[in-house]
Amino acid sequence: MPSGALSGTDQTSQPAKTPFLVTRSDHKGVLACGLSQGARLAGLQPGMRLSEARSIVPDLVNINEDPGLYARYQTKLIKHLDRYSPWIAPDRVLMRDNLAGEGGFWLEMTGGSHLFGGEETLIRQVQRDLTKLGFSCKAGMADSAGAAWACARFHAGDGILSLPAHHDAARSFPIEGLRLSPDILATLHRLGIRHLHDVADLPRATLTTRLGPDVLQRLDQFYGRLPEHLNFHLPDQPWLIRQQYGEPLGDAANLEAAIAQMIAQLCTQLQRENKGLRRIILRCVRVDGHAHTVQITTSTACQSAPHIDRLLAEKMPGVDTGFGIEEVIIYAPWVEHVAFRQISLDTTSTQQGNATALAELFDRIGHHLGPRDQLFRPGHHASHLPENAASRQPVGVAPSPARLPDIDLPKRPIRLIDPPEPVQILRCTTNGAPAALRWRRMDLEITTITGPERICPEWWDHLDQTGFALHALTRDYFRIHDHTGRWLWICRTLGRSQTDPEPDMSFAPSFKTGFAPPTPSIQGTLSVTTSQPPKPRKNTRTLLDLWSVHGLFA
Amino acid sequence: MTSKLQQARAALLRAENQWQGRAACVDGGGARLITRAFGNIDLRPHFSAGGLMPTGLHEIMTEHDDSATSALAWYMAGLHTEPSPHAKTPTVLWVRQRKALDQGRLYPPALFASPVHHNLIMMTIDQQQTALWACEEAAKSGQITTIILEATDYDLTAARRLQLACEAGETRLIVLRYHRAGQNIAPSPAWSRWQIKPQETYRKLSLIGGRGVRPASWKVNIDEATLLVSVADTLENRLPPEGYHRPTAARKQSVYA
Repeated sequence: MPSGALSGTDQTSQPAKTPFLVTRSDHKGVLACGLSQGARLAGLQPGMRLSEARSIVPDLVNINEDPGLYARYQTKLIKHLDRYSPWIAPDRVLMRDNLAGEGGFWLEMTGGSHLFGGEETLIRQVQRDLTKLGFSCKAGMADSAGAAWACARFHAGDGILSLPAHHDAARSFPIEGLRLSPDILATLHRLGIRHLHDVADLPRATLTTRLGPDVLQRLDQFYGRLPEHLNFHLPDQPWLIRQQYGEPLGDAANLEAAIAQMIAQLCTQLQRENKGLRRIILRCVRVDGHAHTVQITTSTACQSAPHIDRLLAEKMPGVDTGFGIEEVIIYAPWVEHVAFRQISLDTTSTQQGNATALAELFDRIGHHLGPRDQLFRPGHHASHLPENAASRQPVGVAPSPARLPDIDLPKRPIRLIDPPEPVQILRCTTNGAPAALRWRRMDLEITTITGPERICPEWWDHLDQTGFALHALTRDYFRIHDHTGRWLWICRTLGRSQTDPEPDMSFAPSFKTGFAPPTPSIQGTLSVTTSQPPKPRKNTRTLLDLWSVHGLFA
Repeated sequence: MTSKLQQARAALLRAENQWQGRAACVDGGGARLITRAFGNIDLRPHFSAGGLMPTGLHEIMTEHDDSATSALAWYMAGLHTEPSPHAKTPTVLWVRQRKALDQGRLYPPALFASPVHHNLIMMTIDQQQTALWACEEAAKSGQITTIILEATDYDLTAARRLQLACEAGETRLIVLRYHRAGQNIAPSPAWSRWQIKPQETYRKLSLIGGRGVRPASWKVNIDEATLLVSVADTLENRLPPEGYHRPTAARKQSVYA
């Protein structure tokens, strides 16, 4: 069964057999709202008046009800049941209405029962644990919360109800399993409807007109046709401060003062627990219900109130107070532990600054930047392609080694032109190396050329290559020195023409082949907008090499 | 004519030496001034303050394809008076405005082999206003040792603001400032202004201006692996030759003494 809910009923049990009552006072007098086992055996009933009970058992011991004690025991039980499922919902209606001292919990066990060895083992374990704590316990498991509630009380067998299979067992449940109010139950009993199948077989329209919507709603929740909203007990959020104002804050200055006060309070709490926030959400709720939310993320854990004030002050002009702000909520959803740090007394080391002040500076700059602006730490990615080799790391983390120290890269330019700028080869030498090129409308005479350094893309990204053919993205890089003294990093991309889809590019890199002739046809391949690309001649293999400048050396 | 010029220069140098002690007190005293750089070149005669200012605004004039200026800026970011043993890795912020210089972006793998170990942080920004704001904020905080900025041309007000922010935080700001050859150089409150130009076989490093600067130029080499700038030869300067003393100079010295 993939999903299930488990419901348990607990009852305080007294080890002693002396009759014992928990009493509550109302406008008519004192009544019993909790009975011990001995009192039940003596014939006392829940809801009985104390004077009536005294007449039956003269030496009756009674104590007054303490709601705080109930709440403490409920918290203790929730903490105990936490080991089975993190989603636990106490049965609030049962706690409020019943007079027999019972309480109940729902555990959401969807997908979790196999961790405890199956459903039967889980139910037995829950019962054993709670009995050991001093409670008597009944447990049931079913597909819906309503069915589990009924199953824990009225199931005759092992307490597990799987609905399409155990349909007959569910139909035989008494009508009390639907969690109806006492007056509806009395009407149903008066009509002779005592079991679930009596209700389920009646026409639905008649039921609603005679008994109201509750019966059908509970019945549909029992069968899982309607959802059940349980109040799950979730851990409280300690880093939330909510402030409501009887007189709405209409002035931006007042709002800022209020926020600064709340942030100071939050930071004091954080410092006390040695924690720092990484993200803070400020929500200002206007009187007309509109909520303006400001979210700020810091690069390191921060517990300094002036710093957060300053970061928020940049966003505060966006908050429109309108007719006034009646509620301000400050919530830190991301809180991290702050390592203890000693502020150095050495004056020479303060020259270099400390890490906290540096992180605050990065926060201030980072929150001011636009959508395309970036603040980053340069890193190194293990890739031969030069544009992929430089990566970007966040500034908040500690600097990782940018490169393994024992790897020798070939000479790399100090400025990388990305994307590469195409150049036109004006003249070639006899062995095919370029002798003059035109770049940025400048004619450059090449005096020295070294290379090539062949750089291929990663082979595992291009497994569809046939044989050992080189990929089309393979580039040959050359360092050239021109007549003005510049050192350029130019690359040659081996393009493929349409007539020759599989050029033989598996040659060793040399200057013998692959250089484009100094004809204007290379211009046609460079500019896409040319109306008539030059047609390649027949029976001649054309390798359309694209030359481009990819970097500048120092 | 030449000897008269040399006499005047020698007299000016002596006069400057007298108020050098006061001028160097601008921030931190004369001991913090950088007196030797570019492969053990004595910078003291070229600055009236007695050396290159370790903080404040310095400008490097560059054209769109002068990549040696990046290497020079990186080298100048590593200049220190003396390496202090307890100094941590200095933080360098490289602020680049997109399309300010048409020479691509800085390629950090080229800096890996450099012996200068900086904690490098980089910024890429669209607008000049944001770039200047970020520089001013970082300079004022005092947490960044050196800022290198490449942005479109700014006016005198912005330069003065940057200079004041650098003085407040004791930060060195090196600006790669675009300057087209043949145009007039815009005025600036920078402490020093440099230019490095590729020649056929070497590079020409010029100290072209600044506050109390005597211009000079050198023939330099840039080591491509380590990006160290070292002077190979002196091209021109306007200093009197070594050991130049005219007999009348001793008499005139009493005027300034």
